[in-house]
Amino acid sequence: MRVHTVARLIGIGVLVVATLLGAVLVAQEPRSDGPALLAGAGCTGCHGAAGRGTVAAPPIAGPALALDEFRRAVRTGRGVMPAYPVEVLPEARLAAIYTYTSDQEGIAMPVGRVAAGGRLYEQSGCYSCHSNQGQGGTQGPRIGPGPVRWGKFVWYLRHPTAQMPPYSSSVLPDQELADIYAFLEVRPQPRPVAEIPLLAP
Amino acid sequence: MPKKTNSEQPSETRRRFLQTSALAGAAAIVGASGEDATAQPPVDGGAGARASSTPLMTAAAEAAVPAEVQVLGSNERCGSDFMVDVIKSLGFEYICANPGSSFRGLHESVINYGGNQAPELITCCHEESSVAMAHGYFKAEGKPLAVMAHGTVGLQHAAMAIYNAWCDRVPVYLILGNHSDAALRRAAEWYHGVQDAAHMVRDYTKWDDTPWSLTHFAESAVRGYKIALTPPMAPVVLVLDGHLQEEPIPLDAGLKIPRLTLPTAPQGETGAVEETARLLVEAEHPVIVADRAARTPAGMRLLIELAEALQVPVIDQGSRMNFPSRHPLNHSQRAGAVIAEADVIVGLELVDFWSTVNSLRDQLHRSTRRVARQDAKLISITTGDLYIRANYQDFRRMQEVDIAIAADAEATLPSLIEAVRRLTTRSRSRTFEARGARLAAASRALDENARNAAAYAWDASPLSTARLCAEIWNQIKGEDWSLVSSYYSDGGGWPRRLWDFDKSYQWLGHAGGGGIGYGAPASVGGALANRKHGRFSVAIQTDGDLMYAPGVLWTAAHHGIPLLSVMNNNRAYHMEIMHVQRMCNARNRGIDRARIGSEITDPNIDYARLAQSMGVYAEGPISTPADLGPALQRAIAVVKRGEPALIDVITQVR
Repeated sequence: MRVHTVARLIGIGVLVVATLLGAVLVAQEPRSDGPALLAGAGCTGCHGAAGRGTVAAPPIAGPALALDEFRRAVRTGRGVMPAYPVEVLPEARLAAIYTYTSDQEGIAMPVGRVAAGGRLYEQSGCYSCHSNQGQGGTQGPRIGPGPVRWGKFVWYLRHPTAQMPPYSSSVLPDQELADIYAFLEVRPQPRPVAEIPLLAP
Repeated sequence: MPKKTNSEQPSETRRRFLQTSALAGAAAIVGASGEDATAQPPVDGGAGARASSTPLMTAAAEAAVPAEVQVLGSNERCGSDFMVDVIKSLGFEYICANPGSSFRGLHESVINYGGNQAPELITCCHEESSVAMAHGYFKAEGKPLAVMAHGTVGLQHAAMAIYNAWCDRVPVYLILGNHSDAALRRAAEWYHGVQDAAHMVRDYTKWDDTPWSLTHFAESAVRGYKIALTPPMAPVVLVLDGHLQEEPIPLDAGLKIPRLTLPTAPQGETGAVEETARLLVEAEHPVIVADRAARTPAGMRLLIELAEALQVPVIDQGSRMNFPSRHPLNHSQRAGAVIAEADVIVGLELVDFWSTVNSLRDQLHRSTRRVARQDAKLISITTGDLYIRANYQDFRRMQEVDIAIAADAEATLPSLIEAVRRLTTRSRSRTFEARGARLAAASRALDENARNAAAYAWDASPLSTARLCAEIWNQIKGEDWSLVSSYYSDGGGWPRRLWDFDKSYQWLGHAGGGGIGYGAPASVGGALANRKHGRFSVAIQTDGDLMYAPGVLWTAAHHGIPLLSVMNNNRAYHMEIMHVQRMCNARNRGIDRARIGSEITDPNIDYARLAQSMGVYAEGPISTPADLGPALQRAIAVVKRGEPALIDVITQVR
């Protein structure tokens, strides 16, 4: 019985490796049947046609995620998104969807102006939860430096899923969001904790 | 209903005495005016003009026999003297008040008859400060303070602080003055008089009485103390008639003070405790959530013992100092993840079990969802099931649970620990050990995350709250310190992430009812309790809170209460800005005006000068991070001399 189990495990392992290898290979090929793939897998219901996002879910179009990150999100689910196990979405189809969405143009980002972004960050009240430098606080997480990718940033501001109030485009147009995004991108990286004696354990 | 004192003096005699006294008083005033008139020449109008505005002693009046002047006889004392005997028997160390004529009799007895010791009168500048000081004092000392106030205007000032104490289930012993007999009221005693003084706060106090005699007072005073300190604890009110305080009584009136015996707190029923232990032992992902659990220092020790026996994560919701902040089983900082995974959740004196396992999304259309697993077993142990009131809604939303133990959590912990140990097999012990190792690793990651997060904006101006709290910690960590400020003034949560809390008096929870203005007086009350223990009291003081009743700084200076107040001065009521901003967002009308009505700028308040004006050592405003450490050192030296000190620091919002 133990030999049988080991053999099964080896078999599964080989299959997984072969599937992943195939997936990587597939992922490198351009896709033309992407829209059908997305619709067939049920992605468009939330992420919209071409994965450009809807009220229900953020965009997945554009080369934002590495394949591993994409796979992890799909397999385990995130927030309200259900998990898609390999029995439901085989690895080859997952990779094909990834190839298609990565090839799509991401959400266009206007050129951000850092100084204007700093002013808007304060005027728009971002600081009241995320603190003056975007470092976060008890009411909101850190959002700078290194904010989330632009598409997700815009989508979340328009359609927050938790306690954050929504910012419609009439209140904060994309250009002003880009300014704020630029401000957050250039927030200084912190010194290493080891160089700050007051933060020693 | 006729009212009697135990001195058996008929009320008619009493009235004659008071009326005679009043006449004697009037004669004395007239006499004094007459003397003044002869000693000092009028400055602006001559004798005729003065006569028209100020009564002069006439020759006839001078020749008259003075009215009888009565003072206390050598074989007498006053009703309020006996009241002080009763108050002393209850062990009060302090009695807080700003003065009021309706309790002038008791006031005089406290300072003269009682020698102004145990209780010592603490001079306050607002009744809300008196009660909030008592609230903070209890959190640090575990004993109540007494508060005196007018039954009308004083109680109206005090009401918000009483509500805070009620919501926080903290005993405050309120003594209100009132002149009940309308036939004997002076002018001010009419608008300071009321039929039922306690009515105004009856919805958020546990018990009240209006004694009609001194025996009645003694019994009600002891009964009230007992009720206030029986879990669930809460404020109580005694209304003392002015005449009952001021009337003479014979020294040998034979009045008796009842003996105080505090009831033991109720333990959970054996079967329910056994079932709780079984569920905890068999669970794979159990969690203990504690809010008002640790009533005494023993509470924290017991909770540690239970958590370690099971190797279970603890979420300390912070109404009391329940669990050491750096204990590897303290997972308060990842409460969401722990609750989402849990298969058994035990709530110890939770103020809000519903919000522990559910969330409410505050958007234009509010929605709720369960954040705990649907199959998680929920167990509550709380005295909240023993006592509830109707009008004020501090009892929160109803949460369905699998076992509800109506009992005191701290009193129930010993039997729960014993049952857990008895039911734990060797196999489960090994499981617990492995779980404990995983939790310890997660705890280390939490600590590291906190320090990494604090490093962001480290050199920013205004100061980040992380920098503020790290600087304070650096200066006090070698002291026997106590953070006496409110949960709402805790520097953006950073002390609980960066400081090492492991003693019951190091964290005093919060206001209870969310009434702003609690922080400053409660801090002074906590520091008053800490003084005799030689503890170093520190408060992170928010600006909006201090502006409610800054006079408490004078109280701290006047009474030599050592306290380091470090301002978290973000120049606004920022929580309210967030609320208004949320409305602006939801209504799509622009956000740039959200700060109108909530900012405290133009002009900026100079808190250092405000404190200095009341005799408090102060520095600031400080907006450069590097300047804070040296300023703290100078202030700490002052506090160690037994005085209060304040450092005004301009900070970021959170």
